[in-house]
Amino acid sequence: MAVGDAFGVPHGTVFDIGVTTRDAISRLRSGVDPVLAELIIFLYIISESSADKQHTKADQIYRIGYHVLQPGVLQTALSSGPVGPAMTADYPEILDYVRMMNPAEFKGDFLLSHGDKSAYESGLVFTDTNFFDFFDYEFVHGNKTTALANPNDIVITYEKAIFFFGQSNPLGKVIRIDGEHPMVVSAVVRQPDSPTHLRFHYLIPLQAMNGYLASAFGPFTSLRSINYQTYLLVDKNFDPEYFKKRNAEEYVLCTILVNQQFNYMQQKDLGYATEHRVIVSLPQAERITPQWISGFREELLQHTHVAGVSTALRNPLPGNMIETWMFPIEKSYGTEETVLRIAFVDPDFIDLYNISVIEGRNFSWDHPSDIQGGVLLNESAVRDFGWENPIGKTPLG
Amino acid sequence: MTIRRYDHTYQVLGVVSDFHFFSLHQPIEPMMLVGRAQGKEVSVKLDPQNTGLT
Repeated sequence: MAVGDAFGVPHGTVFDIGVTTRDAISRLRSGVDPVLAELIIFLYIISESSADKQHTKADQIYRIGYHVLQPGVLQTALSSGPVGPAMTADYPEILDYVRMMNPAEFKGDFLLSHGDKSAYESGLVFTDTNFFDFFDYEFVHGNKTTALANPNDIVITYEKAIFFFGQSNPLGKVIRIDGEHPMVVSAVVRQPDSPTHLRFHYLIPLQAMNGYLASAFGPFTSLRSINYQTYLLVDKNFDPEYFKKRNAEEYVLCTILVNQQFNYMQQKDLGYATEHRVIVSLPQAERITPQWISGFREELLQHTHVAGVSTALRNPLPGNMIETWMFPIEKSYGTEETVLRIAFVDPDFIDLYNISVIEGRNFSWDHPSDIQGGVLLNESAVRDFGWENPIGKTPLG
Repeated sequence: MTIRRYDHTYQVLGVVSDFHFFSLHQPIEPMMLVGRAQGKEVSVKLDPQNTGLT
């Protein structure tokens, strides 16, 4: 997957792991977050980027990105709050996570003040308390163990320490946010000289955010809130390709979505079965070649949880736009331009949705000509045309 | 019978029972399903015995 700077993503190998987590799946299935109905999570290792590779654990740290396919397409190096914890809980090779969130991007700057010094600041970042277990910083004052131990701790950069406190030791001093929230300086760190995506001048434990931002901006615990940089610490033996392969099933499950809408309806009402059917829309990307689709189909079919696979240009099912063509149709009273709905489906479509063939036969993979000009009509078409015997006539022209 | 459009000729192999491809509340219109090797909308039928989705 090509990921460029337009999304604030560093260049490097991106592992399209094609999964979401069980937690996310259950949320999707319960209809809490249909907005992320079609979501691919991708990971990329930070040590391949030009930035942030100086950290001791850089080779074990991956950043999560989202590729949302429906509704609309969004590719971003940001992710939602629950995904880091969920993936860490679900996968033993993921050891830990850390999140960063900068509310100034949507809230605006914060007013920080100490005594008669104050400044509007955009570099205030909320993070998990283990931030310094992931990333190496030089501590001018304080240490990594106590830096974010308390909810009202604030870690500041050396530059900001000089601004507020001069050369004196600021540990234990109070900086107020927006004039009211008192935070206690717990450490002073130096900003690295090398490029970094970990941009901050102030670090505050995420739990502090619940107190004074959650009410104003809604819960940041929603999958919908895609505002976090999330980093995962993985086992030394982590193999992204194996990880991806092992999770093909979840890739299918995470796109279960549309089915939720019509599961409550019965097959007899609709004329086809929906239960346990899942639709995966593959992205309109160059890498999705016919060969790739064949391979994906084969991979799915080998999966123990998969009972059948069909692919279509667009499924003729509720929620989809369906093509309309006009044909000259020979009817009993002469040739007439006739409006028809058209769908292109493979030979497995009919059986996969339990649609009945009431005359003639279904498409067959055994007859290559079936997918080069074979068609099926629905009853309504046959009735509309007034055809007595529609099957298998010799083609004209 | 044969259906033609431009250079293509389509031969009717079979007739399928009507199914709702719009909403349940709309009448079912005449439809033609055209055979194709593949496309980008993948339908998967899961085995409810194994998925825990029952």
